[in-house]
Amino acid sequence: MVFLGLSLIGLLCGSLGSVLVLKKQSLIGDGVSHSSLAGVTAAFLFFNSSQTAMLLGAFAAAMVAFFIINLAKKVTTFSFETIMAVVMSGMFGLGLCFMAAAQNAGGEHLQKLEEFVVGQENATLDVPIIPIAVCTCAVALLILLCFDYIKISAFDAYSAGLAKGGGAFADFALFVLTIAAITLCLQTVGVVLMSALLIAPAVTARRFAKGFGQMVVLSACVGAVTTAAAYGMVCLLPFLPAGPVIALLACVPALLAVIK
Amino acid sequence: MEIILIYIIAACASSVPGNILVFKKMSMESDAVTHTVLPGIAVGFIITGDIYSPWLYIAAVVGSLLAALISEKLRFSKYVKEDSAIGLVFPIFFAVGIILVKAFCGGSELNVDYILKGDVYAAVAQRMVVFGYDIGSQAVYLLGGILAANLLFVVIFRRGLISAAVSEDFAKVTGIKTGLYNFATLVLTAVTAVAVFNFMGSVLSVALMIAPAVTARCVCKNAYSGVIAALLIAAADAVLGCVFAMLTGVYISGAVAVACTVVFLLILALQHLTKFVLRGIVKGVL
Repeated sequence: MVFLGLSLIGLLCGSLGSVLVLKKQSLIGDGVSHSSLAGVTAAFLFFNSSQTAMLLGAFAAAMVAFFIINLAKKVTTFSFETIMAVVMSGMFGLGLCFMAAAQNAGGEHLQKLEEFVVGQENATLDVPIIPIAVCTCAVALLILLCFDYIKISAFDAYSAGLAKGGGAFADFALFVLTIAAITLCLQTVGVVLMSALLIAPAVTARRFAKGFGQMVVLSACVGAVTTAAAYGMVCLLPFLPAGPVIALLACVPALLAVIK
Repeated sequence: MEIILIYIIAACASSVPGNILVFKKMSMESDAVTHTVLPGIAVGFIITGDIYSPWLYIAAVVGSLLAALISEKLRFSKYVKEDSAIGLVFPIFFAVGIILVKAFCGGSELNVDYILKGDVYAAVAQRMVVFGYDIGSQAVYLLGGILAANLLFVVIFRRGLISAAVSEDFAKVTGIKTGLYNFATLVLTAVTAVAVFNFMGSVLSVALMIAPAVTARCVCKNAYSGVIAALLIAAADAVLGCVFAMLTGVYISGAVAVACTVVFLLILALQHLTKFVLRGIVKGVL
């Protein structure tokens, strides 16, 4: 069951990541995951550490962060990434404030909070498998339905908007799904290492794929295989922390592919 | 009181390299640097067993330079764009660091909580003693030294830094060694990040580096006044965060990071609002 859940995570992040990497938005993963910590910890503090509340909190916090970033982007000339760096560090700081408060208050599930930051300790992972499956299906459906639009917009967002009407919906859906996927996978790999899982399979796939469709499929497969391999490794060497191992193993093929 | 002083000095020290990074549109680089110092810190700690050992700094700076070198190499290969190069390298280093910490430092001072939050109270407890007199905490002198070094660097090399930031090609043509400048900037960023990381945790180093510099860029048009404004804003952020944290009893570094972001957003909102109001008045008069 854990094995299946982890492979699904790899599949989901791999396919989404390939779109993000092509759009040169791969650092969004980092921004989303850092900002969502504020929601996770706030939910932990106020709603008694239920997992659903924490995931919803993460989602809400990420949405708020991106609302602020887009608002600030409109009134300044700074690049998206600069504003994102400022907002996400503030949200992360807020998250750590809540986390310190929760630790001072004490409680049973404090370990869970640490998991959200640096990934899970061992392989007895509890993965929210059904939401992840739903999210994976939604991403697959969106990419299939809006394949042409997403493909063009990945390379040239401006002309994609001109060529195909109704692209705003696809952009928005993709954005919401990205945030949802990241919040769902957050507990397994952790806030800081989330971006590896998004970027690495896509970089590997980009090296070998001949087209956009191939790249999405290949990236999803690479993601699934590397997370499955990481699960195997953690089972064999139980003293290794699971989250970082998953992130690390995802990056190895990417590095090899780029260097070769 | 000493804690507020440490935070102010740390904020000022980080804002200086932050200016260069913001100017060069490399703000996410600071995120990368603060994450890539971790394996160096872990290795240094495993070898020396002392969290305040100078070897930690050397190992951490070497580690983050290595990461910067790799991401630079990746960027010039045709398969990876700049953002993915950063996004690929820093998780590797951070993951290695976490694995080292979890596998080899179990039960010691260096744990995940310390990495995230630092321990400013322990840092204050490390005193500087000269001829038997206690002349303040070591952190003050260390961060003060870094602040002085950063300021000296920026003041001495201001022309080269600015031309290299505005146009790398122009700087190269006029005989400025941009590679050297980039390297020096990275070293200073890394040293500052390690110091802040060690005392106050990893979040704060990103917040302190970028936010004051970005806020200063909103207010100032000029690179020189920007550096000075960033220093002032950084100090104000630190004081605001510390005072708020001490009044409410929340975690100090987190509060300072939040203060940095809130000040930035407030100044943006104020600027926007004044523009809006002025436009309204002009329209009303006409």
